[in-house]
Amino acid sequence: MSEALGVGAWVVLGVGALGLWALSRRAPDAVASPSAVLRRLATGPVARIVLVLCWMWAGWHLFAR
Amino acid sequence: MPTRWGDAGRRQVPAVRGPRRAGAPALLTVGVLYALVAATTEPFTWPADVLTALPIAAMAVLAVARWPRRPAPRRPAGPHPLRPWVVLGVLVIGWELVEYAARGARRLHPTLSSMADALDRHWLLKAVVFFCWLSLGAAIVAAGRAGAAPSPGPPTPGPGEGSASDASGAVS
Repeated sequence: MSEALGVGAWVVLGVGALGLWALSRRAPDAVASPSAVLRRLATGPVARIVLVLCWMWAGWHLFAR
Repeated sequence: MPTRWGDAGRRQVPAVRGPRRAGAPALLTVGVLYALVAATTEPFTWPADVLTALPIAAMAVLAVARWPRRPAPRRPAGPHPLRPWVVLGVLVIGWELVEYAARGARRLHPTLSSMADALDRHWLLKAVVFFCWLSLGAAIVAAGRAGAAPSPGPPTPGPGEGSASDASGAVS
């Protein structure tokens, strides 16, 4: 039961991300597209540094250590 | 009547875009091959360290070299188009923390890391994940360049040639 809850929640969140992506194509004024979100983060003076550090950490964590 | 600068500007567009489009398949091929090789490494070994550190170093160099020093944030149109993504991000981080802190076997409380580890046990899946990571890095570098102030365009024509530019190109 607990395992189903744990995995199920991730599935719901993944489906939610797909749903937002689909909504962004239908109503871009209501929901930004993933590329617009990335562009906003990558052009923020502080957010872009955080974004790059998160990307670096994710790679190091997943593939090296 | 097209000006000398106007003609030059029109010719520059394909001249700049052409090589980029031609280089995209080559870059894609390099990325795929790199991911396939990197996927053969085992974590906590020096080959894994090196093959992961190289893209990280490349990202640092590209970010410094290609990104504007003072970016102009690119806000999407609409009242609050980012809000749904912020909510989703908070939910993901919150659930990650809940699962990470939960007592019991990791199998019962999977985190993003443990799910990625499960994928990494298969060479091809690990290569796909690695390639996605590389692609995201490339997308981040490209998105950061959008923060550059708009190009002022071709030089202002001389007296008597009319005013082709306006103040919109002078955003700092």
